[in-house]
Amino acid sequence: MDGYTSVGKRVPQRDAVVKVKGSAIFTKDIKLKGMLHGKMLRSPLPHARILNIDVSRAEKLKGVRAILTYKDTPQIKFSISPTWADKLPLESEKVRYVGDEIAAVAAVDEDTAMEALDLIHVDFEELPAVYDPSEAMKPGAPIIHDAFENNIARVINMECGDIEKGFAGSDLILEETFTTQAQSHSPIETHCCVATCEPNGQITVWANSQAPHSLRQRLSYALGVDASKIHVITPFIGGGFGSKIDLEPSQAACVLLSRKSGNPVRISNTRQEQYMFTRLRHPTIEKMRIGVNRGGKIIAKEARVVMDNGAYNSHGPAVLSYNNVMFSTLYRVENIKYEGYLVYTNKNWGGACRGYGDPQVTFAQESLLDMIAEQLKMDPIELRLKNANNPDEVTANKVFITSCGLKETLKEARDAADWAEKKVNKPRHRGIGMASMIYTGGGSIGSGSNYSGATVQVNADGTIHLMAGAVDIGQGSNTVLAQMAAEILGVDPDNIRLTTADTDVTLPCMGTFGSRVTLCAGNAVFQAANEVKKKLLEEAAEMLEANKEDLEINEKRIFVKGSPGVSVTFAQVASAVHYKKRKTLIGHGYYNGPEVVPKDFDPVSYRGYPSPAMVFGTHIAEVEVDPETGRVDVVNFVAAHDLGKAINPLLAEGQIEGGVVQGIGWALTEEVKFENGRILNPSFHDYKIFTIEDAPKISAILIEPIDPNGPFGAKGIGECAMVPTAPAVVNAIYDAVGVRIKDLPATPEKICKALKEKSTS
Amino acid sequence: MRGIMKMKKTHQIQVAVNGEAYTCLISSKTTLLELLRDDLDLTGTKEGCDEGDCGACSVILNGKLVNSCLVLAVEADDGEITTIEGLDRGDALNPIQAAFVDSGAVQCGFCTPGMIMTTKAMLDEIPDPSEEQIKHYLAGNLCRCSGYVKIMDAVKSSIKRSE
Amino acid sequence: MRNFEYMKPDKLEDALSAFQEHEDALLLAGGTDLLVGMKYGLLRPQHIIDLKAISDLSAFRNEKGWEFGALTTIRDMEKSEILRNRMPFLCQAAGTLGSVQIRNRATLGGNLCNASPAADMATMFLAMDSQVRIMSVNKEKVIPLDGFFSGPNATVLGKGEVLTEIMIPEDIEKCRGCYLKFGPRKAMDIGIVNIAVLLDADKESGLCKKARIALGAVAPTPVRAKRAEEILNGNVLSPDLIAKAAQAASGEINPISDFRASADYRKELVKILVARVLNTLLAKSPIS
Repeated sequence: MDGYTSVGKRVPQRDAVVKVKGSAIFTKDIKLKGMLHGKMLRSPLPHARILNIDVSRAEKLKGVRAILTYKDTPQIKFSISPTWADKLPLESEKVRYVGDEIAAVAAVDEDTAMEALDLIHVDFEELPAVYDPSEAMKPGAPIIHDAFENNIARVINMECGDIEKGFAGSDLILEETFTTQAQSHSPIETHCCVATCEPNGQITVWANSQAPHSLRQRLSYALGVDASKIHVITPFIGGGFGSKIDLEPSQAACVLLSRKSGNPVRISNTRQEQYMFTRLRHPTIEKMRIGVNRGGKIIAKEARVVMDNGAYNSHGPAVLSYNNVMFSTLYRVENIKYEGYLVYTNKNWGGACRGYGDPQVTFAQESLLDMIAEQLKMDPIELRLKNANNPDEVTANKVFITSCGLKETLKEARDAADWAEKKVNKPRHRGIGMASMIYTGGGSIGSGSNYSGATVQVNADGTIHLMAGAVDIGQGSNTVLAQMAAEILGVDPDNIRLTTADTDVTLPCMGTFGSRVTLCAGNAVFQAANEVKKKLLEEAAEMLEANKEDLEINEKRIFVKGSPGVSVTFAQVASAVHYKKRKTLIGHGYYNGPEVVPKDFDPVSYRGYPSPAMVFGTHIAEVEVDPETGRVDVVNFVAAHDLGKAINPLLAEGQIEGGVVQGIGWALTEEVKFENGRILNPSFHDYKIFTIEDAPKISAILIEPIDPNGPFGAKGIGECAMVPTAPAVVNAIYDAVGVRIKDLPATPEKICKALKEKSTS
Repeated sequence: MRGIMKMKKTHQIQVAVNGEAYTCLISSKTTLLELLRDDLDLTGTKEGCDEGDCGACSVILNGKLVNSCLVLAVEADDGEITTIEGLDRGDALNPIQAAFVDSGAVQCGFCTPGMIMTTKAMLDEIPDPSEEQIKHYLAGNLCRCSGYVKIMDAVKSSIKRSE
Repeated sequence: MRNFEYMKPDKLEDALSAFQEHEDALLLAGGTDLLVGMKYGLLRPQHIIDLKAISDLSAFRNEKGWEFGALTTIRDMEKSEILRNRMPFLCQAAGTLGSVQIRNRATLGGNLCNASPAADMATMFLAMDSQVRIMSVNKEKVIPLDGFFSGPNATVLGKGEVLTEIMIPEDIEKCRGCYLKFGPRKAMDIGIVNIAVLLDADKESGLCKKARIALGAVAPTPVRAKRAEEILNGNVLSPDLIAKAAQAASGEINPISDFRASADYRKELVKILVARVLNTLLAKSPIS
């Protein structure tokens, strides 16, 4: 219909064959000669001063080759941004959570390394700890980082319009407090890093990182090593969901251990370590107030959020900013107030987790709107339609909305889910609920940049090589980027060779997160492929003695329109260029955020927030609730997403389906449970991610408005699909049995208790 | 079954993996997973949890689907083992592998070898399983990327292809 | 895992004498609990005796009642056609344990001797009036399974004693039964509450001749709900009687609150689910 030959096609992942054969190399599959195994020594206490570290006994253990403490590091604090830096790779003065890194050992095998850890003696002075962010904010609470009064790492205050006037003019105001819990990404592949260090100081790192170029920068920063000496390569990655973006202290330790020992070193997390010592979704307490007029228009809305940072920053400040901007940008509302606090506690720290602060605030907003719809006796979908964003609008918080398919997602989800019928005619204890969302469809410039680079090179024999910094973490960006390049060059995507995410070879890419890769890396590929196409056509025009404008490309052959017999192949052009001329056929593309950064952009609140595109969606969940046990079964699910032009609908559906199941898990069964700072359930058998028996039928619907800022009109999808899932499920539970769960997860026990309270009142 | 009559810390074992015979010298504590990945360089079988909860390490041992992380290598002495590497014939993919590729059931690919081995074991046992039987059989294989929708499609497609 | 000495005797008497000789030795059956415990460092045996070469320990047969060798795998029980015809509730219970991968290795004896308060086979076999044969170098005894468990992960097995066989009486086959495992997911769960129910009721009068209710995950060991059984035994079954029995079952347990569930909720679940299972079994009977 749109005439594309590659873009828009449901093709399987180009990497799928090596994956099904078991020949795809993941980081832990790498074995190097003389490779040692590293383990980290971690704090057993949630908050303590380090008085002394004695490694002497461990050093004597047979098989131990290197031990590190903070003395082996330049003691430079790091985070995802230097401005937020609060973590040392190995702590020197204090430990701030159970698991805080103190030392590292490399030995001939893991068992010896573990034995060596037992021989390292640390003297601590235990300090009072605080686990509840509301308590941590109070005067007199134990101070976790000296520089932060009241343990507050970031405050966001943002107002648009006139909030008091807005509420005064509302016919109905509802206020509620919602809480959300820590979620663990639970990728099936744990963190793993292999590092070697040459005698000349050249470091090579293989890491399952979602952001290898950023990893190189952060390693350089934290270790005081010139970035040019660090080469980061990403093997295949077994899922990330945000957990593999940061510089991990164990990655820094891995590099230093290899430097100190002179051997390659591998550090790999056990599943227990993955749960206890890698990032989590920030828990939140969200107090929200929304005022509407009788007709359902939102007149004013206000949120006060306390976000639990855990012991260190990681992405925390940006996650709070996203929490604000997603709250403030969804729906057309003039009067908005947001007050947000990011608070340190002595627990495992939060980081980027699929949705990045958006699921938390969407849970609150979409639950509260459901309550408002009920009081207005208005259909929840009608309420959203009345307030939905439109394309080509600027919101009250000065965010540009380019393409917008929110209304279409509402309508199509409604029809696909048979909403009208099911709202009215449903069996007992069954319910249907919905929620909508907004997210970035092209990353953001909030942290200062939003870059992705790509190169397309045609070799002397006519083969095409696409090199892009973007990382495929399983979502299929390799396939999608190749499809884009193939479309432009008029070839089959299988004809494109691909190298990605290698800091020595590929132009930088900020990383795979924020649903940015399709748009940002895609734009870079678009530029690069078009540049090389132009060069090919210019050369071919000369060879064919024709005008460039009269030429067409098909299946690696360039011919004159209307005269298919007059043609040259890519190979012939490339050969002529390389052997007869002093030219090359290389195109570059480099994208860095939207074209114009608004002058009133605020890098804290993200007001005036420049993302090249925003994406929208609507989820509808159908549930059956056991009225005695409180157990919830999701029997059907519809997820409609506006993602601009779907470059590969098969892979886009895969993202949506996977996100929905993670979202349902967050709604019903997943919770990282803490007691006095210790995680009680660090395993697959006690942290409950869905099995195939739990997963419902899911209909993924793609809404494709063409976005002016996206390559072929495409926007992102990766993080979006778990943003509105939890409120859709919780709203459905309310519809089924009349109880509203305001603190996630909505476990059977909570629902059972709520049902009993309802029946006695 | 050959016994080991005296207490020993190291053992010489014979295993047939994907039709090839190997003699290996191992410790008592070596797991079958470690034997495959570290000693025989068959890294297609993955470690997801090392405690039998995720199925990423699934292999077929003497005709039975097992989590190789919970089998000692010495227990597999004299055994026949099939791993993911044993499924395809050079260029041609096994019908289950082909179905996983074509259905979009492969995202990050880390759970994939285990998922495919489980599918193979299931179809060897139940050539035409119902959807309920498929779910029950695959319940021990966790996937975090896909939501299982396209995995179910792939398994159903495998049934058709194997017919 | 630390390394250890391993042997795999092919005669039971060799296993028993090695077990007697090495005080720290642990027995290896399916390994699905043992290896996990060793990986976590909770179990550090220096000697392991693998029982799988001893023939006859993994067979099960029907003579007067049923005799299961301790090394019968859960999967063999799940898939057995003869068991499905004669005691379908046993196959059903077996199918709830772990995954296919686990069930292909895990054994009945291992599940009983690991003695988790939430052990599935332990709960089911407790409801089946089981007896266990325990052997050591010079001794052999048969004791009821009821009384075999002494605490969380603890049994009455003494030094050198090995569980070799599990026997159930023939009248169990006359019962209808059901095993219910309640957890947050549909699979791969340690139950918050496990319920095994057997009912032998007269088809015409509805008179309950034998009721057995065993509960898991609600006490330090799997337990029989004997007061609930007393309410049912010898009486005509009805939804009211069942409700009384379920209430009694809930009252006679003292579960803990842990991060999986609170004690109150566990008690509530026992009340709801015991009633539900009994009513389902009642409904399948031709009298109603």
